[in-house]
Amino acid sequence: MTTNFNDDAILNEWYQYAAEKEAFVGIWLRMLRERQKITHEQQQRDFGVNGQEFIRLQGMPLPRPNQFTRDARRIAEACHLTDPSAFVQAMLLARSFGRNQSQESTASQFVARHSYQAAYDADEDLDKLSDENEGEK
Amino acid sequence: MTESVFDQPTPEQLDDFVAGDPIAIDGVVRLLLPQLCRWAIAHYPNLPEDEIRSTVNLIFAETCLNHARYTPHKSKLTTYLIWLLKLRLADLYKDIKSESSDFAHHEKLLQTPYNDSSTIDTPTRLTREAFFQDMTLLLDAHEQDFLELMRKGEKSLQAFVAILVRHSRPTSNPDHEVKNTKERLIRKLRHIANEQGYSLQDLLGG
Repeated sequence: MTTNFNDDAILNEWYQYAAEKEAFVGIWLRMLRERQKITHEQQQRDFGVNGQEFIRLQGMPLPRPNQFTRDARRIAEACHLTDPSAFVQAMLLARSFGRNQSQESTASQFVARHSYQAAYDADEDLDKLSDENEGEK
Repeated sequence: MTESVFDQPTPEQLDDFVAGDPIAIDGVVRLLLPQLCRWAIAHYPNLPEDEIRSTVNLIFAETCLNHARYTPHKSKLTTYLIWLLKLRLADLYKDIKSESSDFAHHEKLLQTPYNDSSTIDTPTRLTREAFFQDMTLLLDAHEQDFLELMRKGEKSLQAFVAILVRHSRPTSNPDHEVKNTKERLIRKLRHIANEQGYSLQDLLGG
């Protein structure tokens, strides 16, 4: 039994799949489109890339944190973007959005966790808190 | 290590792969993914081809994400990937065997939350809505659109084919592709429902 899919079709399907997954460029570009309220086509035009290579670009692994800009540029070149700098800038922007989002999410989780705790801790448990902490030392 | 029937990445490519170099990872995927897809399709003739391709994509995505877990000197990357693939395909085989009988039943039930929401109590409805809302984050884009249409009770083949076309999915055999996508979607729903401690039957209102 052999597949009717040729290598290009198999890879095309892979890039579309990867683009939706954590640790691939597609998720970051989608977040940027939503933040900047631009379409898929506008983003593609901004980077200067054809449809096929744009699919590949979105299925590329994310740049490494320790050499982020260099990796982003190499990804842009591998996908034949006519404006690699636009892509590098976009990735830097997406990274900063991601950091802010992560900080906001950590802060709201902290508030939610402590509000919940304050609402449900019984008085006697609160009185015992310092003893329990000392016991752990 | 023994000789492999697969074209292998170079040692330098593998070192860069393990280090998380995106270009090396892409190069390794481009070299190995089509080969492993063909191998898996040839070795598992009883499993649906698109399910196999989807599973191959899944294990490649996991391996790319966890690139540092692979140790080049212990085994060939193809051996490592095939080991992961065999585990996943064994699960898939079990799922397909147990689920093939009730696909039509679940497809019918999937329409219930939209069409019959007046007859279910509020907590149940909220649980269902929250579940389906969370699900959209875990589904591929074309599956999200399929789910939306299925929940609205859409029956027309053309409507589902239009989704496949819009997402550049294969449509050479539209009937087959639509049916397989629906089956895969229901399998995913069940798997995630079970992981969250729900029964899909309860969420669908059967």
